[in-house]
Amino acid sequence: MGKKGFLGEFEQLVMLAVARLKGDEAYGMRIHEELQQTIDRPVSITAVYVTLSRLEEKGLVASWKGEPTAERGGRAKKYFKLEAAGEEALKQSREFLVRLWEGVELGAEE
Amino acid sequence: MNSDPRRGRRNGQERPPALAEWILTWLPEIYRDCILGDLEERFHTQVLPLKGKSAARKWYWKETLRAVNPVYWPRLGRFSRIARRLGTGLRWAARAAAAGADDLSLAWRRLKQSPGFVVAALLTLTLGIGATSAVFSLLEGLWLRPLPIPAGQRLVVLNQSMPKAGFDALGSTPLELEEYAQADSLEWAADYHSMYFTLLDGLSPSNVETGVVAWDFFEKLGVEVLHGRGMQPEDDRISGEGRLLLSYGYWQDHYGGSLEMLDKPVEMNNRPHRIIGILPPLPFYPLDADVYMPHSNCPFRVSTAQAGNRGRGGYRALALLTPGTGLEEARREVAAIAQDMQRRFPQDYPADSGFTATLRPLQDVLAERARTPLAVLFATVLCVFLIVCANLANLNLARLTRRTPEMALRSALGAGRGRLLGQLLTEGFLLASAAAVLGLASATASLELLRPFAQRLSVRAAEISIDGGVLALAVAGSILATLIFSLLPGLILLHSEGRAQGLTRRSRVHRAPRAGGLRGLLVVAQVAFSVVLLVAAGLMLQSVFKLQQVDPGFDPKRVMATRVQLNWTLYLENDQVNDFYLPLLQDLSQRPGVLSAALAAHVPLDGRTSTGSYRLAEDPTGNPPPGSGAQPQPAGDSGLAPRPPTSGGSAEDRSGGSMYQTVVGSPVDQDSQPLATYQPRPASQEHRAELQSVSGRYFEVMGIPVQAGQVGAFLGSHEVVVGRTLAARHWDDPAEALGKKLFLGTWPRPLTITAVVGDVHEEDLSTHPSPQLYVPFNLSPWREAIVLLHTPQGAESAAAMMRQAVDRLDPDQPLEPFHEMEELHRESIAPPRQTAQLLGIFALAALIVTATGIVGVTAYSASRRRHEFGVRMVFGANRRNILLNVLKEGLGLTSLGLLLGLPAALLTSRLLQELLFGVTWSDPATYLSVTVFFLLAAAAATLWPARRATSIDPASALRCE
Repeated sequence: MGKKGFLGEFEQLVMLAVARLKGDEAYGMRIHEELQQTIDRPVSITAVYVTLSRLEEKGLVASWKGEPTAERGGRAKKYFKLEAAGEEALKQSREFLVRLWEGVELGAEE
Repeated sequence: MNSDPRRGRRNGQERPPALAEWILTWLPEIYRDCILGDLEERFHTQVLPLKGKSAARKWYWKETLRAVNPVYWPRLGRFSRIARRLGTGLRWAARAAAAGADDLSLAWRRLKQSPGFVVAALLTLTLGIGATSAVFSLLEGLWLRPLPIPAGQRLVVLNQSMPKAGFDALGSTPLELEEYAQADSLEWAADYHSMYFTLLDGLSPSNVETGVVAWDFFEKLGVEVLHGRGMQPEDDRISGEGRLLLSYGYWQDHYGGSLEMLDKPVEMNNRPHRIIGILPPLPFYPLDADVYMPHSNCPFRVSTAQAGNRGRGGYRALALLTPGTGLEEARREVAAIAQDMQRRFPQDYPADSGFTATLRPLQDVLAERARTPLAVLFATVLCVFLIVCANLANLNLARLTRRTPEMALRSALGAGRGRLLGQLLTEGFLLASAAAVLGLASATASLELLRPFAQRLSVRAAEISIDGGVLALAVAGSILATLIFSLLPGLILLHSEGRAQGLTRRSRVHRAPRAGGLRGLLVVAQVAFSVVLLVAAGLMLQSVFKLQQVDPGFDPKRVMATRVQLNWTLYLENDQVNDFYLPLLQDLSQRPGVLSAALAAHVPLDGRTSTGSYRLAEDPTGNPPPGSGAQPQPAGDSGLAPRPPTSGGSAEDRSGGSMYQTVVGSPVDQDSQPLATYQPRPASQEHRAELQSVSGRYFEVMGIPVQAGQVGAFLGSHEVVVGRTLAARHWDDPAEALGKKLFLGTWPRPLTITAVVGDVHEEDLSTHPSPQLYVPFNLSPWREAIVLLHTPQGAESAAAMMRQAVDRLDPDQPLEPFHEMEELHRESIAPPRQTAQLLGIFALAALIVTATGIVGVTAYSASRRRHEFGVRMVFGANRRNILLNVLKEGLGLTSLGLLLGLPAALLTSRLLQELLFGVTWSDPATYLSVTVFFLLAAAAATLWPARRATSIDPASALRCE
């Protein structure tokens, strides 16, 4: 991953949401909901999909289609999961952040 | 229930808004379905049950709008970038508009601060734009604008000529035109002419100018009649009732626009006619007549057609190019036909005559006389316009130099160079637009003043107007002016100066030379242009002065003239014509208040002349000429071609001979192209001369000096009076001519010379008089003649006397008003005089504008050098030195301008040659006087600033810096 550069902030958020949901919960609508609730700001669902398809292109996430359901107007769900490379990239990001945070003291924090 | 999951559960259930769903289908395909599915699932499972129907719909709309944000569409990304740029562009435009509004209000405030500049700029720019627009409207109306007749652009004038035999404009006969009409490139060709008829319609008898045209003339022009019907082939018949079409103007003037006379019988020259239609209000160049009749209604035309003559000239002709045919192609074809005719009829078209036929667009023919004067005038006003712009650039540069601190301040506060230039442009544009409006208004006002001038140049004068083309020119002019006088100085100033420098007032002194040099350059350009104009005006004025100095050879004082046109049906024979005119002359001469009366076929400078050939009964060399004292030549051998009926057509002598061969230029003809009748070349003993039919008192009334012999009763005699040039052609002393005999044309009886009179300018003042011959009127009477009365009473009492006298002879004879002969003389030199006047006015305006430029530049430079002068005076310079110093600067610029302007004038004056008389384009006196005049004007213009410079107090001058 490292060769391809760092993950963007929104990419990290989306990947983390995918990681938290797991299994048959990790499809577009749920990821979108999860994100909005966690970061507490309106996010466009298109933004989520655009990011996910970019991550898929990078080989960080994988997707597959489910069965069409009636409540979706006969449309299929699209499920996502992290690939190994994705998990690795997330870990690396966390590592970098932790390292960077070391020794940092901001006034307002305890 | 429903097997189709796409449809399932929808029955009776709430659905997301259909429009929002449709909008979502714009999304890229890769996630379109996912998003639609996700939103719908959430709509049904979470939002709808919790929040209710309307809130759910609202939520769906919100999510939709958020989802379709184009930023997220990869395929639309490009467009979104464009859209963003467009947005930026729009924002920029809005900012620019706001800045423009700011500029405008600032410009307004700035201009209000310098009212002197505003007044000077408005006055001169209005002059520049107004004059340019007015002259351009003439140029356009008389020359450039297509003819207002539908087929006007295809109309050409067909002219036969025999240049080597001296006939540039030979008419054409119907027989010849038939051959030309066969050309593939010509759709139609026909002759036309006009003549006067006496119209009796129960109202007062009137002389109507009648256009005799082919029956399909108007049809071919693409003109439809306004009322009634057009001509049909069956209307073109020799016997029975004639057919007439009324012109719109005559219908309005004579019948007040009433339709009652339509299809009613009227009498024209004692033949019943019927008015069948009324033409629309279009000018039918070149034949703008009162009424129109088909060819066969004109007995002269019928006899011409029947005579089947060739090569003898005849009528003017028009032709119509076949649509899609080029002029050159048609010209080649017509010339080839002429060549073929010459080959087939060598006796009619002599091989050495250079016989040919040509076509010229009617529009060009009509503009012929107008072209040179208008081109000269237009060049002049453009020159004036450029001078005005240069002057304004100069004034503005001075203003800007003073405003440098302001500009520098604005620049320091963040205004970019573009913004500063924009400010200057706005000021310029504001002024130029105001000047364009004022200029157009003054052009419109001056149009009526220019119309008489235009009328003398072309029959199209009525068409002159301020139209789209003129408006476009005015707009273009004002934009050009803005660019020249505000952008140019602004650019130069901004370019040449570190703007921040302007913050200190002192720096002005160091910076100024650059702007000063430019201002000097502008003045040099103005001087150069003005010199060109002054030289042109000087040459024109001089040539008009020379024209006025020309002795016309006659000096009519208190002489009234009127033209009489006898009904040629009633007065067909010479005796009948004489039976009208001779008693009339006698009656008029005896009336109280009439000092003397005379008759003439035409008067000098009225545009008509007639020429003929004569031979002396005894050759001065002593050889008796063959045929001297000869017997009458048989009729028909005279080579007499049908005389154009416009001349009155009565000069044929009953004895079978004829004096007249050529009748040219008649006021009836709208285009002054002379028509000629070709005669085989005169034998060596035959000479050509201008012929005049007059009564004995003609010379006395017209003030033509008798130089030898005396003119007696003249009428009824077989005497002839000759002009001095003719006498000098054969005899050393005019007195020797007296008593000599000569033969005229094929006239059988010799005439005796009884007097030699001074030469008269018959045709115009600018050409040398031709040899002239005067014969007694009764020997060669003209149906259309001039009655001249020498009377101290005015035109009205002359008209009253005339009416009384004519009533005794023929109450049905229509009469025309009297004109003073002196008027005719003045009129003859009106076109060059007016051209010269206009040129003079423009040149004077240019001179004044240039002089103010010189004043401005020297005053500015003198004020800039106050400190220097102060120093000089402290060190002992006296006022005279200072004065000379300033004068030198002004005169230096002027001399430089003269150095450039004089060669330019030499180059351009050549174009004037055609308009000049008695002076050449390179006339050294004119150039010298313009130079001296200009130097004097420049000295006068420099004197004021120079005197101001010397009046300074050295101490205060030094203190102020």
